[in-house]
Amino acid sequence: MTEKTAPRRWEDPPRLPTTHYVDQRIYTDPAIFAEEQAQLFAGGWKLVCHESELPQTGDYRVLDVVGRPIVVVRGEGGEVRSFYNACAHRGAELVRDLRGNLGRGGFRCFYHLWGYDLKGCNIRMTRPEGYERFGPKADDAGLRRVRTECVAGLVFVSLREDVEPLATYLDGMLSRIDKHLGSAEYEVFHHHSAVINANWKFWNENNTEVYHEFLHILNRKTMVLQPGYHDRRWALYKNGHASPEEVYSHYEAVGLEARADNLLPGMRPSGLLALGVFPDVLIIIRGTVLRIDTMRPLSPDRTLVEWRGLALKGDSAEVRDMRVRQHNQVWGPAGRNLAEDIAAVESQQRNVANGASRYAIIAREENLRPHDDCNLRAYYQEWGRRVGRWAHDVDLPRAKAAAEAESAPRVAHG
Amino acid sequence: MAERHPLEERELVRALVSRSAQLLDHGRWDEFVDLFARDGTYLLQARSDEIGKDMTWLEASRAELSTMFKEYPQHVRDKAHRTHLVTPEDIEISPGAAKALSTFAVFRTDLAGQSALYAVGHYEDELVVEDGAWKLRCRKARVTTRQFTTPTPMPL
Repeated sequence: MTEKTAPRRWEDPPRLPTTHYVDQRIYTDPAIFAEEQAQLFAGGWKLVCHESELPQTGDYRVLDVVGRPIVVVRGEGGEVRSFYNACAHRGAELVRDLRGNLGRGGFRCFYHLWGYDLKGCNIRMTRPEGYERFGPKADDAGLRRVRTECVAGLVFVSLREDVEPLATYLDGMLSRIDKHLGSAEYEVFHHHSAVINANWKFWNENNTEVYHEFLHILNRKTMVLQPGYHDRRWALYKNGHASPEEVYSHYEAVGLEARADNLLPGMRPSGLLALGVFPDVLIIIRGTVLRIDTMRPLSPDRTLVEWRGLALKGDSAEVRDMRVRQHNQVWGPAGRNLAEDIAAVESQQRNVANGASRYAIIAREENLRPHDDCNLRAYYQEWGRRVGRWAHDVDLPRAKAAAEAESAPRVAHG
Repeated sequence: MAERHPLEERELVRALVSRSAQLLDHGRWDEFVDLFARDGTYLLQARSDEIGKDMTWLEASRAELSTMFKEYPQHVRDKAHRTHLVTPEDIEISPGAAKALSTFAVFRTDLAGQSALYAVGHYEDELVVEDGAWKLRCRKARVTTRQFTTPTPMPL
């Protein structure tokens, strides 16, 4: 038998539409990593915490955005503001714990005792007479403010002052978030993090592509092999956000309790719903409990992933215990799936770093059904538009790639 | 149960704590489960400085532990080896019950043989005498480490 086509040369791109594969140097190239940091994480909106982490006036959280130390604080009127965690005087860190309460007196730098109110205005310059000759004046010595907006309890910041409004950025995802998080008061009960030896986009893909559920014995038994699993479709939104329709998880198939009571707003019994917010956020609900994943890219091959577990504020002790138990059945550092996901992405990273794998295939077409790679294709279209690169060909001159990405037809939105 | 000298009881408790670490290191899961009383519980807990709350990351009865170990081979799992160092520091004996506080460290050795510290914490053990032997009624593994490389669902 003669072959009809020549065998594939592995160093060449796959014989697929350019939207259907990725040059895996996007996971290893330091220049691309720097562009992502600037364009996506410094220049876009970054989810940093949940409002319940700042319940009282003066409560603060210290966070890291693209290596910049940011302090998020709740002000007198309840407004949440963010500043660089750096004194306007000589740059020392204003607060040195991960969280705490400033009291009504606001910030006081430990170094020379300069002070700032909760709006970031300078209210104390120690021995001010020394500044009478040349200044600065107090109104020119406030904290460097960071653009901050909240939606449904989620606190987003941007290091770019002229970034588009958060609601505009979230587009169709806004109403989805509001339906599930905005109709009740949530609080964070769980937080943990891990440094994974993989590029942040590998983790994002793992979080958002449904096809990888074959990796998990739990998901195979409770969902993939169950009837009705494929009877749903992806919703793709502007700006790279995406969500597959809710699916039923048959917990009983692995000996776990069904999730019929104390459901979170908008959820059906034992329902599972995921909301992917471009570029690095996953909100996932398993009936009774909600999880939020965010990422801090550290280098092309290292990522800090943060996980939060949320429950309804005002839960009885009994209901809260149930939510914590159900959270930990699948999620958390001792959850069934986490070690499997990390094994997968770290394995990928090793093989793209050593050159064993050059191109990744994202070619599944299933008419928007869950195993369709449509969300990954939409994601990389948006990634290319914002970063100014084609994911399928990172060698294209940046300006040309940016122009082409900008003018390319956008993925249809559901 | 024949009455034993308190020092002998202390030694039995100390030996149980040490043995629990060895059994985890060597994957002798059934024997690890057998260290627990019939109503025994394993807890993995931590304190989050980020959110200012105590957290339970795993709570498993003896039966749930047993199920977890049986399911473990079906999972894609970290192939590294984990080694415990455990130091029982404070043991209190009372009639039919005991408490033991230990410090532990867990090292992870990858397939290439490179070892690194994985986690540190304390075991807060409550023990009872069941069928003439000391058993764990509650093992609370409180980890100081909150950021893991290569997490494992297995008890620490």
